[in-house]
Amino acid sequence: MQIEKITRKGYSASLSKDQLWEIYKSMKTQRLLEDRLLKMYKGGQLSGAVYPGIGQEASMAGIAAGMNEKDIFGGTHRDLGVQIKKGVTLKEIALNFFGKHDGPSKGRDGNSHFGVVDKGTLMVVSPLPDSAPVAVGWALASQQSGSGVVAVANCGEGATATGTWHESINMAGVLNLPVVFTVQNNQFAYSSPNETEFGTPNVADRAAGYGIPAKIIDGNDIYEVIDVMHEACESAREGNGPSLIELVTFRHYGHAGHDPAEYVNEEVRDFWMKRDPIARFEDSLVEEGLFSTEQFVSLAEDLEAEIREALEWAKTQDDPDPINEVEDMFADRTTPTISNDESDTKTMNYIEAITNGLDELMENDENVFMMGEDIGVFEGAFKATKGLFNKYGPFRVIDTSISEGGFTGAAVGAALAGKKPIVELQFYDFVYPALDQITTEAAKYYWKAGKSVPMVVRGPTGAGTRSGPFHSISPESLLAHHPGIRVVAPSNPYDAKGLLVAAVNDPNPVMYLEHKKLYRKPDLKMEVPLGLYEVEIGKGKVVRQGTDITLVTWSGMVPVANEAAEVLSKENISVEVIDIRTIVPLDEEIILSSVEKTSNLCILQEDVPFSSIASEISSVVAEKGFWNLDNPILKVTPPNTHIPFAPVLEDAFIPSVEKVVKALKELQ
Amino acid sequence: MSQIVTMPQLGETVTEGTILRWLVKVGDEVKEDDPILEISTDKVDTEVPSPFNGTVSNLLVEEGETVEVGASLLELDGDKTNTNDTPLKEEPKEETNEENVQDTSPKVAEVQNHNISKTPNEKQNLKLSPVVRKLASEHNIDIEKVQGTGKDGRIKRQDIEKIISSGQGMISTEKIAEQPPQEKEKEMLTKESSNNISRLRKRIAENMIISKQTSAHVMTSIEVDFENIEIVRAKHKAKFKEENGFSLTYLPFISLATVSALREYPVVNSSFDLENGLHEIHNHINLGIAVDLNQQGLLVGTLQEADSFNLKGIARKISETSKLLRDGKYGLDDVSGSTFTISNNGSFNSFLTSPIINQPNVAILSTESVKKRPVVVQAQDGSDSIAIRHTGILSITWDHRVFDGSVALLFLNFIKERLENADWSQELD
Ligand SMILES: Cc1ncc(C[n+]2csc(CCOP(=O)(O)OP(=O)(O)O)c2C)c(N)n1
Ligand SMILES: [Mg+2]
Repeated sequence: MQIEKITRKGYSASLSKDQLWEIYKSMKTQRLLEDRLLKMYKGGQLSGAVYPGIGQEASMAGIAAGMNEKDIFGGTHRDLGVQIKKGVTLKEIALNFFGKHDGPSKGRDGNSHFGVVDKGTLMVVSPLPDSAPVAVGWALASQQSGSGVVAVANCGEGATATGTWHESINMAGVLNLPVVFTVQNNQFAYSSPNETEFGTPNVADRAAGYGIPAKIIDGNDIYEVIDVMHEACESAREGNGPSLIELVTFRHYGHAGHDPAEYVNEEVRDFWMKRDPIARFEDSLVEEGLFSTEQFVSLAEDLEAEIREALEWAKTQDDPDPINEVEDMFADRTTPTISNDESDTKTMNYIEAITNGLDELMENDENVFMMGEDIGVFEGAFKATKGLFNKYGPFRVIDTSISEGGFTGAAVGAALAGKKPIVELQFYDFVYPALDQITTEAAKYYWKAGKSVPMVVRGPTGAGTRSGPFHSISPESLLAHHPGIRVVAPSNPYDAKGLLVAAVNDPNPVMYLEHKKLYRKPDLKMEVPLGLYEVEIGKGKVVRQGTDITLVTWSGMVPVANEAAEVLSKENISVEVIDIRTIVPLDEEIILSSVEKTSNLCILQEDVPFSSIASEISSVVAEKGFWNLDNPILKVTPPNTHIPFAPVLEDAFIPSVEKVVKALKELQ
Repeated sequence: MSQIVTMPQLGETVTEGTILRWLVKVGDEVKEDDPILEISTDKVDTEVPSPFNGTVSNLLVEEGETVEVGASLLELDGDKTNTNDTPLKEEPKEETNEENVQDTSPKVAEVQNHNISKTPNEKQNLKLSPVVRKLASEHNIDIEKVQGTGKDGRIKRQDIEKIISSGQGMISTEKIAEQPPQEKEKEMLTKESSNNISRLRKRIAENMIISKQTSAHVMTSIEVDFENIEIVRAKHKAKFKEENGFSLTYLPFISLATVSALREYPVVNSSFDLENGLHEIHNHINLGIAVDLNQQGLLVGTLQEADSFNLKGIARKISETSKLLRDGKYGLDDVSGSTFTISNNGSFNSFLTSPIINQPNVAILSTESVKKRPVVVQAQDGSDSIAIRHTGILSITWDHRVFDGSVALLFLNFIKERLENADWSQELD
């Protein structure tokens, strides 16, 4: 078989013999390891999956070789080769494949779905290409702090069809971030050829749409990959912004161990087999007189033994203990609670308290920054960021494109890189496109990769402003259903600022729900301490004492509850109103002890009833407070419908004081 | 191979039974159908025959214990050779050929399930919330004595707390200790004698209370002229006794008239399950007759398919069933499944009785004594005169949840009409 030749030209020409040997070794390791894993998988020795990148070794090793050591790589299931060249060890890989306790994902994910952040590889997740926005966020942090780190966002050509990839590369282009987008075009996305994934002849053609440079290169020529990668990384490092590299390559096997890849025609396969990246590399190394075939053979023997040894060793290692699962959902806070004698105060409404909190947080810690649509020059749709752009400038109060998934994912990356990002959703209804990033990345990072993600996603929620079905959501149950994120929902200016400060200082992702009806509610103005202070996350508050009925609520329904309690007090019914303030973690204690006193429980919420927080609280009390109940648990909620626009409809939708009063009278 | 004998379900409404006496012990050989123990349910005391051959390897319950239907009673080791896999009690399949079925009651409705709406206050009082249950048990409070002030008289937490703080309603052991010694002795004495409640008495007591708590009892009565019957009776009395060995009383006449009335007013021959919203009109008439066990208790004997009897037949059946009950030789069929009951208080010379409904019936008829009384009679020319005639009262206690006064009185008047005007002599000639 005639093999196409490769020669060193650019940066690769400057590499030493040792460096070239390391690169060769990494490629050979990938090939032999994946070959062994495939055999074990087919022999029933390995559960889960194997996604071999055999045939793509030059792309994998070359991408890593073109990067600096501190540069960060965000890739996919196919990229074991990149991880190996970035320094991830055979033992780490083997532990992950066997789901062991000491593996990089601690048994919580298998096969190639892991990253070792400390070695510069982001957590690999299944949804494609979800680490791309995270890489963008890391680059954003790098841009802000001038750390010189470049992020590489890598995926297959199929994954470039997603909105996630588009939002990522678009954002990077708009913000001129130090990111290199690499796309290993291995001809197939599972079984689908290029024609079914994109309309341009090449992936790289699309770079024009993002205003960034692009190159199409031979992904099986290790020297060309190194040269182009190096150039792109250095250009990004120098502040020239992102670029796109399409590495044309081919995978020798199917999508995964189970896939015989019968969809690949023989001509195509022959074409690519003549361009086997390892054979080409070996030929050139021999031709240059650097290494001999015997050395390759002997290395292969050593590696084979090393691989078997690592796999055998991993099998004998400890399995994870199910006991730790719950404990590992959240990172513990290590910084002390901020104290404040609260002597210096100012009268503020709800939104002023939020703005004041944002301002003080940014002033206090330069790692705190904000991202969102129209929050800079325009100061936000509701003016929550009033004055902040002028004070902190465009690098800390960042106007983003309409890319909720993109910038929420970017917040994850920035948080991993040491920042404390605060994302503003213009309306919380637009959390849906961001949910993938919130639940796939933010919520799972600590659990799966052991890295905490301190970030806040804030924005207006709630109905009552004639804003219709898409600007009125109460998303608490939608969010709370996902383990690994905290959810808070303050109901007054004091709590709003205190919870915001606590949220920014929490090492975990916190969803901070503001109620737009409360923003400028005149009777809600109160004295708010100046200077930072915290309201503890996970602690509810009795906002009105009572003896007959416990009325649990939060956010925009707190004023309704208080009014209803007032009405009922005139009829000698004494209602205790509890504002839970935090949805996750729920303060069960405060609810249960109030029910112990009153024996009657009503939950009032603005969210729809089915599968909601009211249902959850009801379940908690039925389980843990059953013997204290004197009446069935009541829920006062809207009907299970969407939020309507017409004033008559919206008014009927939102629980009113009258409805609450009527319901509570039933509890007799 | 070991086999388990379980608590049989002796009657539809039976859910549990008490083990009175073991008739076998561990190691005994038993044959299929050998009596192995005596049990008592709220319907009947009976011997349980062994369903299998084998050696007793284990007695799983103690004498005196009350267990649920289906509970394991005894373990037998041995072969299964003689056992028949078909259930012992299965009755031969009824002929469904219409011509063979003697349809004596064309008007009797088929079993009907009417959905009835629940009235809100029904049984509400008995629904106790978790906290009320907890406090009542923690503080030994007799819940029956608590007045509910909640919606529809529901007992609320506050009602219980009031009692706790006042100290009333508690079954307090300390209180007894505080009483003077003689008082205590007296209490002990009364306690001793009242502890000996017989099982039968206990069952009666429980059934009476349950009935009172279940049905909305109303009593209605009517006066009946028995003169015609008396004439027929006087004529046939001696011969009847001679032929049958027992006296011809008024009861068979009343029973027969009642059966006709039940056929006319099927709602009186029904069961009513408010909780589950079901009203079942029975399509067979099983007449219950209350039988006094020589002042040692009361049982209701059942005349199954009472509408298939003529006067002589029903008279004989009543007499036989009463004797079986008094002698304690009755089977389950003799005491279960009644759809309407007659309490024959007239035989003890009553004037007027208001009996308690025999659950799950919806009414009970009480016969009162028949006596010669002066009555105003009208001659054919329209003139009134006073005559001496045999008259008596019939009273009925009925469940006002199920029907109203009009039905009760139409029903009673139907019986009266029958008793006064039917050609009874034809039945006896
Ligand atoms: C959002 C999403 N949809 C579908 C999948 C299932 N899936 C896993 S790999 C794959 C094909 C990916 O093709 P490509 O992006 O070309 O990468 P390659 O596997 O060829 O390296 C698909 C469809 C996924 N992981 N994520
Ligand atoms: Mg592909």
